[in-house]
Amino acid sequence: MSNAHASGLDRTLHNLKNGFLQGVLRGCHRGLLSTHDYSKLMVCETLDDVKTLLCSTDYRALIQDLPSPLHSSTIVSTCTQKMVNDFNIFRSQAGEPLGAFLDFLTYGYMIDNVVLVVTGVLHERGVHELLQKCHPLGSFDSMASIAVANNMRELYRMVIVDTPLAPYFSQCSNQEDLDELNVEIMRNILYKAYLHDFMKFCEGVGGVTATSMMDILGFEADKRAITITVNSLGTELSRNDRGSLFPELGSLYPDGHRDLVSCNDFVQVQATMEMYLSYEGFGTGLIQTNDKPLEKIFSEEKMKKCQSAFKEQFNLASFYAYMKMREQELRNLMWITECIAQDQKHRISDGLINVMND
Amino acid sequence: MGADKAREESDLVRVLELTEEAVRLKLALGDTIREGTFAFSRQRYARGPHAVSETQYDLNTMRATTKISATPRSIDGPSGVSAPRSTSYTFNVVETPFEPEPEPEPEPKPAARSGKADDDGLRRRPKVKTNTEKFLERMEALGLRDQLAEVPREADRDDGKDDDASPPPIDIDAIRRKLGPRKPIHWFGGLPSPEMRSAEAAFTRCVQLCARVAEVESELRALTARARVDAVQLHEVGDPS
Repeated sequence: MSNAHASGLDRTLHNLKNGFLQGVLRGCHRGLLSTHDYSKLMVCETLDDVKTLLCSTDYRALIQDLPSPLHSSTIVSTCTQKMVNDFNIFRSQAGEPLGAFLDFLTYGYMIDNVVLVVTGVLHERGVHELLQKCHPLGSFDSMASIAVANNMRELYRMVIVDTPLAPYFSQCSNQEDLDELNVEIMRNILYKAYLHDFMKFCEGVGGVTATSMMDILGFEADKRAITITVNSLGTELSRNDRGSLFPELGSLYPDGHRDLVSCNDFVQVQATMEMYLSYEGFGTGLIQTNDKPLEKIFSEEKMKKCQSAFKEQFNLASFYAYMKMREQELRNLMWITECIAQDQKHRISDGLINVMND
Repeated sequence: MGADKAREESDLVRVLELTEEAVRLKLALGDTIREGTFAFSRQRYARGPHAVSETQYDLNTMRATTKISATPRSIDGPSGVSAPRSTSYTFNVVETPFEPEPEPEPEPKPAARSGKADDDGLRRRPKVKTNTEKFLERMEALGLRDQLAEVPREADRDDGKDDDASPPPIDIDAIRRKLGPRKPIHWFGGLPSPEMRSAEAAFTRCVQLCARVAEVESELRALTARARVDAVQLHEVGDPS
């Protein structure tokens, strides 16, 4: 059987299993905020104006009953429910391997929720208050039990062992002191194991899914390596520990990782990025400024990759791309509402990233 | 008389200069606070809406290590007698070093404990008295006791587990004694992002600006008080009765 015939068969089979959900996905994609919507949001004077404007978008059903006074975190938390509802629609009707693929999307949020609750309990915060702050996509049944655990072993036995994070947690069992640094190390180790597992799954699916996801997950790994390096400058994290947190994927692996481990300041990090990263949006003379922080540079590149993945047909990566676009849209809303609340409207364009590319 | 007039004029010029500086410093303070708050927004943009919130505050180790010392500088009146409220102050920001509390003596191990190796790699900790009760008393005095989650005490757990079989719970107080009061930036994560560092720098500048504003205003108050006393004295001298 020729390759062209085989890929045509794959596409037909893909449409047979996932065609309906692909159609729903494309419909949801049309509901993302356009450039025109953002230009109207940028001229809003108050958060009530933002709410009024959002009532003419897909967020209407969620936001119209939001009571005043409004806060930026309230608006974003409410709009997050749209992303959760879309995900639940996909997940409830997904077959395999799409179901397992969608489950992988939630593991990143689960890791963040576990870290949030552990840190909050260490700071003597109430469990109920912490659970309200957790991301809904990363919720699991035994999350409230995290507060009852007294040490890392109990945390694993009572809570984590029945979650999909269990295989990733075994690498963290030697962490003793639950201080802020070790909790952050735990987060990064979990995320590294998760990325590796996700990549392995996508390679197993094969086809356009594997190609697109390898590109996106490789970029995510590069971003994490650089972020960990920049954030660990001037902290107690040793170079060996720093290197052990880098996911073994992406353009920077392995030579770039070796250079990043030995970086002592941001100038050296920039030099490493320019040497090894050849993404379209990264030019020479990459300089982080207050107007264009590193996070924005990465987010723009990620959106470009998601838009490319979404344009591909008959693959699962488009679901990942849509969820990340929706996530970026929520970040944009957070940015706009914070700028309006702090009377810094002239800085809205500094953090706004185009999601739709229209 | 001529000398008094000259001094009054120089005081007046100084008052005008100080007023201008006070306004400039207050504007700078407002801008710096806005800059720090905006850095928090950038952190929320990068890490989510709850990346910077009150859930990260560590009430246990919240201890002021940055203090402001006030050194008085008196401004004497023309008769050599200090005028009321004519004392000016110099304010300096002082970082007090952390002095770790001595670790309490560990209790002797009971005879029943054997030399059984802990096979999961976690180091056994000596049993030490905790400061939890002291902390709870402090929170009760502040009226914050009901905000704390009820943590099950060791004595109250009746799960039938043998304490010797599992490693003892992590002693948060021992960890905190070892680490000392953490900088507030570490409440939000062990690896602070550039946005959080920029917020920390901004709020550190705010403390210095506050000290400077207080110093300028104290000198203003002292000069105005002296001018008032001088005016009263001049009126008394000039009174024919």
